[in-house]
Amino acid sequence: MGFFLQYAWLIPVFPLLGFLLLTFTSLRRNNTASGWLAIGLMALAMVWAVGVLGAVNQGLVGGASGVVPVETISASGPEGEAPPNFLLRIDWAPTGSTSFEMGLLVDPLVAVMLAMVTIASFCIHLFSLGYMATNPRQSRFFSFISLFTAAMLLMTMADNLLLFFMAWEVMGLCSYLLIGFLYTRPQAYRAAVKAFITTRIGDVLMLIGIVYLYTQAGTLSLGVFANNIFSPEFLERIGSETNALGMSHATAIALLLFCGTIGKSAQFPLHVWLPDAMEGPTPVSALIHAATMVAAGVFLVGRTFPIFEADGGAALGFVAAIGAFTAIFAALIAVAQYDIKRILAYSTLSQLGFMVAALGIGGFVAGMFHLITHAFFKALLFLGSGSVIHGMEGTPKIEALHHKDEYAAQQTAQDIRNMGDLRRSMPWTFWTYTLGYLALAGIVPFAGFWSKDEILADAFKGNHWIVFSVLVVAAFLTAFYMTRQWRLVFFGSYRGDNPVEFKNPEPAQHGDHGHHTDETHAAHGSGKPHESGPTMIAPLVVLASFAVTAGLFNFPFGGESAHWMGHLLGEEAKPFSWLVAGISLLVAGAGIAAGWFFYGNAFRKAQDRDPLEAAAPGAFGLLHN
Amino acid sequence: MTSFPLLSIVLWLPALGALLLLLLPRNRDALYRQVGLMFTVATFVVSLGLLVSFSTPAGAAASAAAPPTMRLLEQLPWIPAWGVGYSIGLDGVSLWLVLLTTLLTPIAAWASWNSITTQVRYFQVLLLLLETALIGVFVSVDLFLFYIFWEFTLIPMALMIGIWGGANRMAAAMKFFLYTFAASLLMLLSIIGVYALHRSAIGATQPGFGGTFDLLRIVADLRSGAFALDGNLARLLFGGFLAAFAVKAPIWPFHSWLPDAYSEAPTPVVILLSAVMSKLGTYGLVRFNLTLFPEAAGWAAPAVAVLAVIGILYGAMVAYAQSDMKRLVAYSSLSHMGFVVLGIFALNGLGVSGAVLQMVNHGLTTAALFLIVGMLESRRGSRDLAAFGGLWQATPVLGGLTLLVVLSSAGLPGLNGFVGEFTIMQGAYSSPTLGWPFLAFAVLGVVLAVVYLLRMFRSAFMGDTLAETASLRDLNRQELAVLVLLCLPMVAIGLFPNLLLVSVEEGVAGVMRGILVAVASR
Repeated sequence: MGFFLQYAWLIPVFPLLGFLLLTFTSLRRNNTASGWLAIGLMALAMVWAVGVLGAVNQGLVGGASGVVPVETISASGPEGEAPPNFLLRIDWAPTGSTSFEMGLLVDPLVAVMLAMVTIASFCIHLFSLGYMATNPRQSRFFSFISLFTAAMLLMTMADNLLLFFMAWEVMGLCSYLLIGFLYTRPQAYRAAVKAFITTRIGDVLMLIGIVYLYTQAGTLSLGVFANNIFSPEFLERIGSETNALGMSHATAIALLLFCGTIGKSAQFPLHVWLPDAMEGPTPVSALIHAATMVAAGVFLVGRTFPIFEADGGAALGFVAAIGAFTAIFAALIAVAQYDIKRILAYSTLSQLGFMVAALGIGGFVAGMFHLITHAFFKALLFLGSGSVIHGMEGTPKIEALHHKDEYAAQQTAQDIRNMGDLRRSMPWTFWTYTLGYLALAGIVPFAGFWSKDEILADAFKGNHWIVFSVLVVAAFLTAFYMTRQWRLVFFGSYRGDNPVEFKNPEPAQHGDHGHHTDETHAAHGSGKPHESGPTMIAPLVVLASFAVTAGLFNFPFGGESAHWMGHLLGEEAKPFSWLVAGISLLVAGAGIAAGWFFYGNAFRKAQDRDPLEAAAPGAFGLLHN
Repeated sequence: MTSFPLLSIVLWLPALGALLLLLLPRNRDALYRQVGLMFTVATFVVSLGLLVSFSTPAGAAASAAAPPTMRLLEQLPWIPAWGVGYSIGLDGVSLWLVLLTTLLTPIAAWASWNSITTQVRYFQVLLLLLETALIGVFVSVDLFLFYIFWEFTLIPMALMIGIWGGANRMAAAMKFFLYTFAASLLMLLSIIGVYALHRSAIGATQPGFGGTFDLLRIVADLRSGAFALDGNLARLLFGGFLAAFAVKAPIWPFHSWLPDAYSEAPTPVVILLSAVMSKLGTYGLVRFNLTLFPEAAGWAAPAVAVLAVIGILYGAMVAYAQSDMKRLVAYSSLSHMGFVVLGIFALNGLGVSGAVLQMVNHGLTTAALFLIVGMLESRRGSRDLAAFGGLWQATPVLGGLTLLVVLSSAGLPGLNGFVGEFTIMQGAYSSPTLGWPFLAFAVLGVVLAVVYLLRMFRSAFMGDTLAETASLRDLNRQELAVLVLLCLPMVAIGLFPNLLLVSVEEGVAGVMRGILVAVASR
């Protein structure tokens, strides 16, 4: 295990190597080979990251020269803080008398994130091999997602905010490239530019925050030691001194940094780009816009948490308010969507709101815990929806539409009104999707239950009544809209033979050549969609197993091994609250029951009205747009 | 080391090439082109030798009053009666600008192979003369010599626009010449003023002192207190220099020659005009306005910085409204030069270092952008955005490199533009004269840059492929090599800014010694 830690810097290097090989060598002309190469390198990175997590769990500490158990290190930081488990720095730029150092670091929080990102990314790489098989630019696709993964891993391991920001922006670039991957479609390139510019607005404000922090601290290195931005003396100073606008430096810096989170994690009011970003291929939505990049904003708050705490609560109050509002606002919109991916996108917004709200009320471990579990089950749901869409695109009705207008065909294939009864024809997808659904809805014993419960418990015990009640309502809505979706997709009768066809306002003149060639789907004869192939099912199974078990990372029971993640991150475990767990379960059950009740007999054919629309057309229409 | 006149060789090698070209027989266009390219490439190779002398750090300055430390200093008397000397030298500020010039001139020479087909010999001659003049401006440490080189850059440039430019070339060339020439005259008055004041001040204590145009001597006397430049007279002289540099850079509202000159000039000329010539102005601000007039610079800084910020925003907004790609890049250039000026008038080490770095960055990026526009124009016969669409399918390699250059210009971290902008922002924020409002507006400029640059990229390279653009050919080997040559330093600087910043900081420290005293005494 120590070996993995000693060479921890290799983790981002693997996918970066993949990007370089797939971009600059002739490998780029061979789609299958480049796919397997990217997958192989990702698998290496995954093994490495899990090894590092194991080493960190054993309490090993070291750098590029070797590792030793943490007990043998005598020099500790203030308040007995241990040094990071891994640290490697180089001179980057001189700034007057000192020089700016850049480096990589691993501490428990980083190790957990690394494991999550590499596992999710590996599954999604594997899934893409089948999903993108017919795209002539598949090699380019792998090169982009490899670059993205490298940037995400680099950001996670960054030991200072400037490197963090650089990797953060490269992720934004990859997001732009991947949303606009089908760049011949006006909808795709418009969504790509919108995403890049919207997040950029948040990013430059964050950059001001970084400059502000730098002028105050003279350093951007993360850490509690002297000459680090979390050294206690510095935090106390910026918490007490005020600037020209009358707020403390800590508040101002924290709020500016939080602007980056608002952009990247698509919190209100910069949330507008995320639903449109679903124009990207589905694996992209799963990787970037569900599991990793959008969670980076939450990770930013987690990473700089001492600054948010330094001012005594003003900044965190704002964070909690934004998070809670986004959680309920997005959940409401999700109720009124028909596009399977858009429902998941709004659900992601809402869940990110949960995490942000958790951090805002001081629930550091709860927020990060939910980040990890959510990454697994939401990636699972997105890949599951990809499998469904892939199946739907193979049906004769949509095949026929495909020849006329590719974009309209895709939109029609994503419409849940056109699905139904898929549990029979796509059993693997159905069962894995169901596990993800139960995890998201918050049903015991799936992963989402434990992490959501911990957020609610933190709000409950901290007497944050407004946040608590808002999140409870949002949890109810989550269970409701997911039941609606699950019910319409997998139960009832199949409605795809007479679908609601999407009318494309700007039909393409030439179409993107070669995307989904006809031979591929020649085998699909019957009316109903078919199950996807093994390279698409395998990642679903892996992610589903995490959706079931990820709750164990911070499981409240089990004596010594309970609250493993909390211990790793150095927070006192709070006792499990049966009351909150009961409320949470009750609410989830009520949401499912309501969803089943409303949609149990709805949509006998695709053209039917939504029962909620029939009940309250005005409100539904408002939310639908 | 100083005995070998390396710097003089770099300076005069292009002029030698120009002379040789004039001696060649008639009607041998291919030969003229080869000779032109050969001499510019040779100059670049020799200029790499300049780096050797910067491989060891200079010792600490003798005192706070020492003038900027020049390396490879060569000083010969030239017109002793007036105190004019042939003195040239390099510091960390000018080093990278000289290298930028020697890197970009061969690229311009290469670009002229296809785009310049008439009077080839004279174009190559003028190009080589221009290179000598440009290097001369960067290396002169004598005010008189500086002025001669300064004016001499104008003649080849105006001729090149006027003879080989687009449809309105004569008007553009005249406008360019008159604007910059008029402003230069104000600088000449200032130079003479500084000379006369210095002569009378020193002459009072040292009878028989005949006066000197030697910048280092004047600065040494300024910093030791033997000679003082302050009060309203100093501000007036400061204004004379500022006028010349503001037109050249240009700083808003002195930019009105820019769109015409940039869009009329042929590709090789516009590369040098935007990438190198505009740096003469900002370089002059650092070398003369900041070094000679620290007090007046502090006085004028907020006002100039306001103009710089207006330029950033104005350039960005007008760039967004352009459909002609060349004009779009021209206005983006105005916006980016505003950043450089903002960094300079932050009046601290960070800001000025960032500005110098950004001069180099902007040179590389703008040259690449104009080169790409030139390639597109020669393929499609138009540079209107509406004439392009979905190019990425037809020309994937060009598309990828264009995206890299666009992102460098937009300041994406990991590429060079970000390092410069970040350093300038830090400088502006912690500046004694500016502060966070300037930062806020500058940041708005960064967002707008993304908007207009991505708009250009989207319109030309994304979307549906037009029938007319579907068959355009991708880059050939030469074009690829040249673009990669420009892109490599972008990535290198972005990842390892220390390559440049170490020597830049050393040079800037020489300039800042005077400012620190002036700011401290206020």
